[in-house]
Amino acid sequence: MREFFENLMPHVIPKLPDLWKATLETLAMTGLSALYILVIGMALGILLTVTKKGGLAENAAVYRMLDVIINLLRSVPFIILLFLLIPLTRIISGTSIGVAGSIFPLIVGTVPFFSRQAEAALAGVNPGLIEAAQSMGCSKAGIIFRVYLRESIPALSRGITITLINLVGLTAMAGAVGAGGLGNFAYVQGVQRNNYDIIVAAVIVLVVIVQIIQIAGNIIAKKTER
Amino acid sequence: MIRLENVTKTYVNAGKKFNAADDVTLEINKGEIFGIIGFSGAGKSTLVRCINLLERPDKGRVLINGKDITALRGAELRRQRKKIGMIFQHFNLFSSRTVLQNVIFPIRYSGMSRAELNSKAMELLELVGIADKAGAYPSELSGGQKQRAAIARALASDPEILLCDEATSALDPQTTESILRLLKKLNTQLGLTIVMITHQMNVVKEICTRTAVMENGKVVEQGDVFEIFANPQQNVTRSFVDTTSCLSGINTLIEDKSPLVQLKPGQKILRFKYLERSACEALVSTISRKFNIDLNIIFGSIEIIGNNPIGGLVVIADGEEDDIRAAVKYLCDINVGVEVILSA
Repeated sequence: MREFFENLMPHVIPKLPDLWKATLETLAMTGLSALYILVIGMALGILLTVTKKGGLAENAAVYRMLDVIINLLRSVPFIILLFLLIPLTRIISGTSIGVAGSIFPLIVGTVPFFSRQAEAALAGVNPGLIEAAQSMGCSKAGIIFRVYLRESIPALSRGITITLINLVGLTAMAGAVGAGGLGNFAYVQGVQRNNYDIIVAAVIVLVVIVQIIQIAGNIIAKKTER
Repeated sequence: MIRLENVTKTYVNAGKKFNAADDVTLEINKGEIFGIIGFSGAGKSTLVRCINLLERPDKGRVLINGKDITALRGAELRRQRKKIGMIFQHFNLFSSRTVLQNVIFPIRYSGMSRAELNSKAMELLELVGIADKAGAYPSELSGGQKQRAAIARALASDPEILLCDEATSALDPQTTESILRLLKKLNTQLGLTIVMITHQMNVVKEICTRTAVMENGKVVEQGDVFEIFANPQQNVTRSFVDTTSCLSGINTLIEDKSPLVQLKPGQKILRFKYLERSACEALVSTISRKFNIDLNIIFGSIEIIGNNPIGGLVVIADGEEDDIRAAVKYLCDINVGVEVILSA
């Protein structure tokens, strides 16, 4: 078995500890930034939902502003955004490299995407339920938490799954410009040294991570779907 | 109990103004079942939403127990809404919650303990007859059970008023019947005032005591259900009344030259209409004995509304010209409407 691997991926075996370290870095970047992304994106998704025309707290000015900012950020390719944000990242994170330096750009790059996902999930809640809750004297906060969020759990978990998978891809890109992680590992050890097997090994680990996220997301969506 | 005063609600759609409620004044008494009937787009849904201010009228006042609720905002308005239950055509149950959790929803943070909440919700489910479905999710219920669950939820905060927005329109006739019986029971048992919006005349006929007819945002006719049925004044009302009766079927038969209405000499087709609450005499046998004419009933539609028969008959009368004329006069004298539809 070991021999088989040595023949197939001769450069991977000596680099296994590095591969492991890179995997942990990718997971750390994904996990840490996801925490911020989900909270901020959810808040923006809710804000978009309630300020939109016919929403709970209709406010055309706020909605237009958010809409424009989100569209602007979404139209900048992530690799450009990474460089664009370097000065700001230095101020906020103290560094623009490594795992710590990658979190801020990942947040800025993914929050707009996730807030749209959240907005779409909340838009799927039957307006009749909102009306019913209002007729029961439910407050706006009550409607957001007890109706919108609760009723959209299956759709939200699908949106979160897509977002996390996207995020894993972006961490690899951030890795390519010095953030560490599997992207960095594949680029430095594989691409630059022409070790094709290292690239394959990094891809396999990424595929496994993505699969785990997708399967977990599917299970949650299915369990909560009524 | 509920008083709408000059309620007006205007929408602007594609630059065009549209009066969903146009200067509506209505009074709904405590403990009655009040029907608001109209075709779709007549403004019924807007009007009923003005009662709990899901729609805020542009003009006019909404008084509940003498208090002008259009003056209420925020928490005060929410407190008022808890006293007005509402059920919907499509039930609007929370799909992520069980039936029990749906019923608890409106009172969850009212300060009751978990045990009190559960027992209160179970009591309500018992009342509407689906206690065995407490743990089920809405998707596992039939239409009728969903509406029962919605009724239990609407009653959770002990409202004095129940608003029903096309509550039976998505249900089959048998289920409609059973939901109407349930509403009637709640009306008598709890003294609940019920306002029903519907486009189904038989719903009004079945349980309402008084009714208002709406067209183009206006209330065109209102009053006692019997009066409205016996003596509709407006075309729209007449067309609703007709939907519950088969008597106009005679016109189609005549147009189609059906063999049923090919008259022999001396025959006439007459339509009798019961106009008065007293019309429970043995009409047909009396006139055929008294005036020596044969009566062949081809259509009959008699409903009992508030213990009074209403409706009429279409008959082919066969006899001497003079006898028929005398019979018609007799019927007019006892206040039965008679119309000669066709003479041989």
